[in-house]
Amino acid sequence: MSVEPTQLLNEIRAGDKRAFDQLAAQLYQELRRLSGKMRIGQRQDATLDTTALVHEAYLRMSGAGSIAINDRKHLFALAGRVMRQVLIDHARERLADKRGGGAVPTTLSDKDLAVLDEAEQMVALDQALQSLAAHDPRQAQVVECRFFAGLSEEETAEALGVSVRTVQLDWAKARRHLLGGDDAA
Amino acid sequence: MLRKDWFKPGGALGGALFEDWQRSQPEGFSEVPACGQRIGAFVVKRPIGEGGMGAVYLAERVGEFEQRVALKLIKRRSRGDDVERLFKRERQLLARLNHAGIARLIDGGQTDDGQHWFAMEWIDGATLDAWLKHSAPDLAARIDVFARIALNVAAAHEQLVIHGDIKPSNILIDAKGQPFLLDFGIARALDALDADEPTAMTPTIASPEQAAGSALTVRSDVFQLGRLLARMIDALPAPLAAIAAKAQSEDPAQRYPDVRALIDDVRAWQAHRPIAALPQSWWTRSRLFVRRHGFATGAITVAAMLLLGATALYVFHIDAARKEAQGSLATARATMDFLTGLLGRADPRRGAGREATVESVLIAASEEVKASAMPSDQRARLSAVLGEIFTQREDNHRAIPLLRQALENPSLQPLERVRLLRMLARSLVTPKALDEANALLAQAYVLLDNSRAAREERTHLDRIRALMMYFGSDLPAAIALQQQALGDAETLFGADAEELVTHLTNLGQFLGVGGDVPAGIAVLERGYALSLKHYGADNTRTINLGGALAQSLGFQKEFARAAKLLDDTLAATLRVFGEGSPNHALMLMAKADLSERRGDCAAAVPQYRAALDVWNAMPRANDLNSVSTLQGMGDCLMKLQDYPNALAAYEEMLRRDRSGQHASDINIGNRELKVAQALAALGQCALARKYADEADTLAQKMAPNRKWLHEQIAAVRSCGSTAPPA
Repeated sequence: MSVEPTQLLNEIRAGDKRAFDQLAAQLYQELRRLSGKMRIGQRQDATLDTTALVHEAYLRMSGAGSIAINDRKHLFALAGRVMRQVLIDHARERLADKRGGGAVPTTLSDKDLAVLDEAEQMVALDQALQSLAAHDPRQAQVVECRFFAGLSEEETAEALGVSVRTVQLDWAKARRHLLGGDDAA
Repeated sequence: MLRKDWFKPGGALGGALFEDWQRSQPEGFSEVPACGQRIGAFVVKRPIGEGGMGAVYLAERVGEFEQRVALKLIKRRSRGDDVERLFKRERQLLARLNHAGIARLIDGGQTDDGQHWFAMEWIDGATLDAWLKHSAPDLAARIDVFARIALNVAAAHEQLVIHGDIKPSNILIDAKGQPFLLDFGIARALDALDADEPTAMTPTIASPEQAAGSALTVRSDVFQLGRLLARMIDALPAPLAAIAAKAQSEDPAQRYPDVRALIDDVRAWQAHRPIAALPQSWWTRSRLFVRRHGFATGAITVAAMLLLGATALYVFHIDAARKEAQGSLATARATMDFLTGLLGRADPRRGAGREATVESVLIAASEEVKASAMPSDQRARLSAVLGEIFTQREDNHRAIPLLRQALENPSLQPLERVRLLRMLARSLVTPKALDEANALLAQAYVLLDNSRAAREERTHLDRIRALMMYFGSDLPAAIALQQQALGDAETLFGADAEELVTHLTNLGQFLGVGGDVPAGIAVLERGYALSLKHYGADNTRTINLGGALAQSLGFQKEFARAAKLLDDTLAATLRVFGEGSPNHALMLMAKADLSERRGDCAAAVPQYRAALDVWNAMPRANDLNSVSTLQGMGDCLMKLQDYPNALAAYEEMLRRDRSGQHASDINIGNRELKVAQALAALGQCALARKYADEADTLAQKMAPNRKWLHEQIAAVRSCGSTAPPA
């Protein structure tokens, strides 16, 4: 039997930090590498492309045999976590540039402004997710899968080993929590 | 506060930040085509794999007809001015390759951003490694696939295309088990493109000259095929390992000159012919010979039994005298392994040429032992084993030089030496060599101490000494010594032990010849029962005893029992040795002998003739047995007063006796006498007297005490002066 993704992630978080780093580094490289030409931002069907991307990352990683990944589900679950890490890191970099003084261009284009805006949003989201994870770890995972990896409800359900209904409920609850909805604490 | 329009599924991947991140990534990462991207006339469907030179995708042709291709995108490399020209040339070269086992080049070109690509024929199959793992093909299937791969390479070489990167991932096996070679010449094209870049070739596969940066040659592919062969087969049989090693020689000149030569050697190995990769060591040649010709079941049983029996005894004896013999023990075991292999591969289903083949193998083996430059210790050991086999086969002429050679080994343990001396003495037991045989036995006795093994060996020595007394016409002494040896053996081994069988066989025959046929029969009956118990009916010893017992029963005029026993023994002979074997002929001779003894020469002559037919079908018809058959036939024809045919039989007998290797050893003038008798019967007295004179010369020398012989010679010499013999 394969290990539940939740359990795997918990184990990685709790115990084997090195295992996660190794796995994440690999996936990070692959995602970076593969996403180069996908120009997801210009498309409506981002979800579909991400799936293909993760599929391909999985094929490459398992094919290379450099890491023990024998369960596609694990990779899907990790993909969200890794993309979260990638984008948070990039957002912090951009915000650091802005505050960094002399290196910053005096006039910012609309695009630059949009990036900075999103980077601030990303940092805020990361902090909110941390508090959500303390409150309900599975909800945080659903967010990682759906928001960061672009997985569908079905893929998320598969990745986390829960029902599609649970994913739907978790997503709704997390969304209310993060956006400050009715039942936000 | 988070924006609602941003926080949605996939939102992280659809925004400005993600796009910004993508842009910030190094350019090299953008060389991967997206699914659905168009390259040349093809649309990329999905990635298949990645190699040293780039990634491979499944792609489909856009347009009127569907075509799947393996699209290979080559990693970006430094550019030179002649890139286009080189690429064009190589593509033309590849396009020329049209061979069933080579994935064809369909198209090639450059993408908009300058990446080179090839579209190759799409092969729906597994890589060689996957095939080996999942199909678990047997050795024959692996060899077969390897040979086909090599043929594909050879076909390309004939088109002047060298592969240069032959490895499992470049080989696909389709559903029918047909191998296909991928990436022909691409490695070479790439190398030509940029010499300053690290080569695209897999370092572990590359031949030494490739690794050193020298030009690719046909022999580079030979090298890689050798490596592939070694990799495809986990435990390479020794000859195949030699083939792979030769193909992978450091020095290209030491490799096979071309792939065809490599294939020829693999095929030769498959067909059990000698291979070029190995020096013609005697054992390879003889083993291949055995495998090529095969053996009938009976012959295998016998030959393998002889070989293994002899060698096992050898190992046993060394065990007994183990003290400082660890080294020789290992040698003996290696020898045994080798001999096991020699016959173990024989095909039991094949029926023809059985004895001749065993004979030929043994002879070839013994000649090579004499000639080849193997380590002296091993040579001595193999000489000993082969010598013993020839001794057991009564082929003393071949046994003697081998045993002499074996005795030259200075590191022999005392008991080993005793055993060899005994066998050599046993082989020398002919009237000519009695003195030497006795001297050898004397040497052997001196080496015996009082250990149990030595006491056991002494009973064997006594048996051979008794045999010599028998041949030396001292029958009473022979009987006395054999009775003593039998008693000792009974004490040492027990009254029902298998070691007694040979003692009983010899004693029974001595007693019978000595005139006490009933006592002889009793001893032979005991031996026959013991042999049946220990070895079963289908065994050489039992068969020999059965023949001897039947003969004795014939002497006693117990014809019915004798005939029944002979029929049983003949049936066993056919099971063990097969039809047309020497033993079959011996049994036919025994039947003829029994008929003759019963006074039924009319029945005996065709039986002798049947036996003679068997002897004649063998390569060396002129041996002792065919001579004896002709003599028996002649005797019967004389009794039937068919003198012309009797003379013909006798003349042929004498001719074979004189040209043969075995027979004349025990001729004491009796052969010449027979011819003389037939001539006398036909009234050709002058010629008869001439033969009688020759008989007399031999008889005086060889058997001065045989009264009956001298009387008969004298009778023929008086031909013409008295009445012809009745």
